Amino acid sequence: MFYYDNMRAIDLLRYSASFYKKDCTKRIAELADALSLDLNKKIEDMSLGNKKKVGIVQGLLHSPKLIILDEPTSGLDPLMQRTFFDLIQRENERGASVLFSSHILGEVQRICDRVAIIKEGRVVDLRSIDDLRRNSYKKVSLTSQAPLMGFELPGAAQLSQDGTQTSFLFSGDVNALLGKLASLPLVDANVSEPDLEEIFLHYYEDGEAKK
Amino acid sequence: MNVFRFELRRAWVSAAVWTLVLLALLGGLIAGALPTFLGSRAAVEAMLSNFPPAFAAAFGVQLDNLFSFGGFYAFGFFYYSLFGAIMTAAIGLDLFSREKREKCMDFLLTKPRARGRLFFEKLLAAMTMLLVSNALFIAVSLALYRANAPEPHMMGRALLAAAALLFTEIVIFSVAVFAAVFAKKVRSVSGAATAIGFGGFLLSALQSLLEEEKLRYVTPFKYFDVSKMFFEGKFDTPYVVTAVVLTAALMLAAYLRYTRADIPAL
Repeated sequence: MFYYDNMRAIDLLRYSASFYKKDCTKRIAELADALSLDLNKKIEDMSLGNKKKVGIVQGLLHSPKLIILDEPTSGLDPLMQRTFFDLIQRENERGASVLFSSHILGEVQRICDRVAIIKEGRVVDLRSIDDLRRNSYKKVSLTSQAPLMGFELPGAAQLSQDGTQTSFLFSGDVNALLGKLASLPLVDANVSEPDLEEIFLHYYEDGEAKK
Repeated sequence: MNVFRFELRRAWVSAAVWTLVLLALLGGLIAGALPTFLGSRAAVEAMLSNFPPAFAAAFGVQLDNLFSFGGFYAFGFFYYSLFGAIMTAAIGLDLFSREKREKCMDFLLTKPRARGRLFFEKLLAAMTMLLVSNALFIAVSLALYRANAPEPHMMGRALLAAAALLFTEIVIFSVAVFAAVFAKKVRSVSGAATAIGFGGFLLSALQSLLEEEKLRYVTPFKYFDVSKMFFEGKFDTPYVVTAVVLTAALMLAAYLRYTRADIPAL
């Protein structure tokens, strides 16, 4: 992120605000406060994360009705990521339309209404989040003391076993999953959410298989 | 007019410093050196007779008129032009390549402000600084004229002669703006400004040395002949026209480029 040399954040933000016909001073203060941004510091002395915050404030200070963001939280720590998405959600509640690209599935699921997948420059699918949630699954990978023989669990798919490593995809009641895992002699267990791409790929494979 | 104010705030100090230097030179030469110079005419003429006229002309010395306010002023003018040119080139380069140098073109050009309007506001800021600087130069020149010339009757001519600096600077300014807008990279404003200023200066010296009248078309420092203004009350029309045409062409090209060129991705 580059800005004019030798400027404090507040100077740059005021200059930025001067291009719009509204008074943005309150907005600037609110946003800087929410992001814990020290406005009196020189921009060139700031870390990348803080420079990013200046960019975010600059983008939102004039209360735009349409907000388009490209990977807005890269470079921000997780706490700030959450704060940022809260900000975005508040803007949305105020009536702004928000489009953003992200790989942080958790946040996307939490605040988005709809998700689109873009492949090779084209939108290949557009789903509502509810749709996604209903069809979501978990990736499970287990390391056991001895190879698990006769492993069976309703809701598990694509089971693959290699010696003491077992992995599968699970969709269904998570209590059943945990109950099953508790009964096994495990050395290590890893239950994770697939990322958005995997969901959609899974979705597609399912879709293709159904045809 | 926020861009106007922004640019003015960022650049005025440098312009002010250059103006003070220029005024000091002007004051120093005229108030300081002129009386002594006029007094020791014989000695100076003896010294100058050792140089071929062309060589002396390269330094701004025109023998026939030198020993008068106008002649001495014209001699010093050659050097005031150098300082003025560097100052002007610096202003032009600074304002019109600021975003390019500091890599923040996408900051300014994504604002809801037409590019033509941005160009205009920057131009206005630059012109303001040039006009203030030259107003001071003209004022000091006229004051010195009243104080030091034997018979200060020709205020009108003195005024236009001093204004020649403004006119010359406008030409240099258009060269600098053109360079700023078209250059792929502007590494150092002061370096480039000095190059443009000295370039013009050396071209003029060369033209005097070679005594080739046709070369005057490419020497911005000579478009407005100060001694001619003092002694004949006019500038040479062909060169004035050249100056106007050149300035207009360069500024138009710069304007079109600024408003239409794609900016490269970072």
